[in-house]
Amino acid sequence: MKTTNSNSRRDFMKFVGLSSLVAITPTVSSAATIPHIVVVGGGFAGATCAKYLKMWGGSSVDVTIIEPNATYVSPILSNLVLNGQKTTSNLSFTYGSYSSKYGINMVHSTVNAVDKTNQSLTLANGNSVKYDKLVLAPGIDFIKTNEYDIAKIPHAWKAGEQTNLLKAQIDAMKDGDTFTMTIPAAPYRCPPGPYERACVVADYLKNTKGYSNCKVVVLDANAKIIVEEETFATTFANYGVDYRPSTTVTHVDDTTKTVSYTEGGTSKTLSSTVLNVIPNQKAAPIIFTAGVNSGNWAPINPLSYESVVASGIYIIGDSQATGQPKAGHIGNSEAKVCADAILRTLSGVALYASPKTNSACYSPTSATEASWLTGVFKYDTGTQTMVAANTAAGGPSTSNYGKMFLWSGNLFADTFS
Amino acid sequence: MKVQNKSLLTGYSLTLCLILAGCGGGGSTSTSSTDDDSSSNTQTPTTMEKSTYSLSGTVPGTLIEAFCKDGSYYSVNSTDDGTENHPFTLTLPSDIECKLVMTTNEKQSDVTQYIITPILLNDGETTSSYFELDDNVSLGHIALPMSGEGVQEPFTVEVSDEKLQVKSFSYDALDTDGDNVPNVYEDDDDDGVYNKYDEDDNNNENDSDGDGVENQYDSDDDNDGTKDTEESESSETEESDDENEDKEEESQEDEDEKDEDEKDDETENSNSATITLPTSYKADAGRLLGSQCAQCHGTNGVSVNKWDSIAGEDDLEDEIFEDDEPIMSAQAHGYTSEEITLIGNWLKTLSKNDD
Repeated sequence: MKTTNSNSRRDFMKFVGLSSLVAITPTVSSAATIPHIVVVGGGFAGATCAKYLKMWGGSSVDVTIIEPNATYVSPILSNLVLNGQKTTSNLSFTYGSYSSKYGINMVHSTVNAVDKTNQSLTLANGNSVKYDKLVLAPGIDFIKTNEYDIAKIPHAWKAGEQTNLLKAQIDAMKDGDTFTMTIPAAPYRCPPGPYERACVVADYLKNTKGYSNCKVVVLDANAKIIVEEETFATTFANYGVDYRPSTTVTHVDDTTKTVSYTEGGTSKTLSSTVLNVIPNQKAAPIIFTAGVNSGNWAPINPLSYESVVASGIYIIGDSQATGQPKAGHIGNSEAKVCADAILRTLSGVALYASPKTNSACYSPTSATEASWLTGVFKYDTGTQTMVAANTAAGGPSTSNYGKMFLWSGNLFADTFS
Repeated sequence: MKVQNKSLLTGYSLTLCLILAGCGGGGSTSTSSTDDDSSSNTQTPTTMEKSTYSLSGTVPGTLIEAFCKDGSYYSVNSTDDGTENHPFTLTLPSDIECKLVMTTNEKQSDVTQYIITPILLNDGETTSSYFELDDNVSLGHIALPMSGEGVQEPFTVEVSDEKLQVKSFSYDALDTDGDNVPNVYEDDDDDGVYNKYDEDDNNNENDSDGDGVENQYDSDDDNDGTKDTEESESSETEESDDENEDKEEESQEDEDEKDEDEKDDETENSNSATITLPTSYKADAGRLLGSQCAQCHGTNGVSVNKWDSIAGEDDLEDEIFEDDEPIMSAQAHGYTSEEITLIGNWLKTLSKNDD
């Protein structure tokens, strides 16, 4: 296009505008280009962050979400799709009313490149997007032992099509068949989730399908049940779940549905009617593309969630490297601390020095009962990390099963409405 | 022009401001009275749900178009009153940023002979294509170029009316390459026909009008000047809008739940509420800490189900420990008394009837 000087004029104005943010004269700052905050990922962390940036920052900030999918399917409650208590459409969220309510720009594309020097993203659709602050909320990626077809060996650890695939496989089981799942080494998304799934599937096969001869086998990479040990150990015993800790998956064969693993230094194989391998996990690819990882995750300052290796880039949710659990509820929680920190930084206000986050999760253990787990996390100035301020858990009950939907209802609304 | 409320530094603004639709905006709905060329006046001001203001001025014989951030589109032809300066009045929403393109020679049958001029506005501090109206505003006379062909250099209009805020964004969905020429007036396939008029130049099926806002977020996804919400009610035959209706799929269907006591589960995905956003950020420790209650008690303390709303709670210091819900008790013991006081003071500022 032949608009050379107007473009440079615009860039010049932008330069003046941005530099005025650090100036002292308020009248100059009013001429600033409205800061553009790009949030990559529209899940629990990303959608919450964008919403709160606009709710608290209003027209002083321009916020864009870049998310590949027009519909988000919540992994929270998705084990209830497996036993028919929910459908994936019950757990689906779109961004239409949400984005218009808060004035958030939506772009459905994928980020191919991050230019930290020019603060610009290149999208798969060819467009480039400039940012003043970049929030990465991309979730997780899998570390598979070998190449295999996840349509045959679904992980169902990102909800949607994968969840329905696994449900179809479970529904095709006959009495006497075997369901085998593998639990990744911590840290992984949703600590109670795999144990919850084993309980839900065992209950479904036994009590809904009426199969008394099906086997449920759990190969856990961890040395023991890592959360709610009493609840899940008791429930496993009730259902007769074959639980094998300290097992390391070494190979997956999608043709024979066989998993190879080591247990106590011995190599073993196991074939199963349904094989649900949940691989080990790491931060999503953009964390590595942007070069903000250290090892498998992205280290951040818990006061702001700003990367410790790249200024102006913030990482929230499952990809960040604090010791806080990786899950939707606390992703929402981290997002608010991050949104507030970004707005403080843009306004020249010091970061809040003692942020709190919390996690909470109700886990179904059957089609009628659920347990819960919760924690409050505080900033420890000595170690500059988030540490538990208080944690608690409660065992399965029908009352908790009902409360699970009250919890998720408000969590979903606080994130997507 | 002074943009008052826009300063990030002064930030003399609102505490958290969540006001319902009826309180927001305000102001007159002004309709065009000067438009005699009714065939091209595509405004439908009578059914707009949000308040509107008029933007007026005089131009040479011109098509005036406004492209707004929500994908909406407004246009009007200036009125030939026998003088050199043809008056126009364009009715625009009050709460959305829009940009203008003015086209002279627009009566030619060959679109390549149109003289298309993107408009920039300069208020003395900011130059940008985007503006937002706070009242009816006249731009005065705009001496658009009358010669040349095709898309012109942007024409900068100096504005001095405080009721028109010039707003600059570093990313613009309506102008993705940032060259000040809106996407609809680019020529992506280089065939000499602008995207807007180019039938075979649809390189994104999710963006029917090619303005840069995807259909599901575009309040007028065929840029015909009529909001999709109004079209879907009245017409079954419109092509683009009906194919791509912006209906939100109801994602939280109520289902019969097992526990009769906890029947009203899940969110209602309340998409009706409109909120008024603040114009600047004001740090508030109580709000930051209290926002962590929202996962279970709802945004700004307003629950969407039978779990307690805590907005307007006036005795948090005592109530928080009296709750017999063990998960609440576990949370409460994670906070210091100073933090609970901060949260309590913030909750007192919230309206109980926020829904």
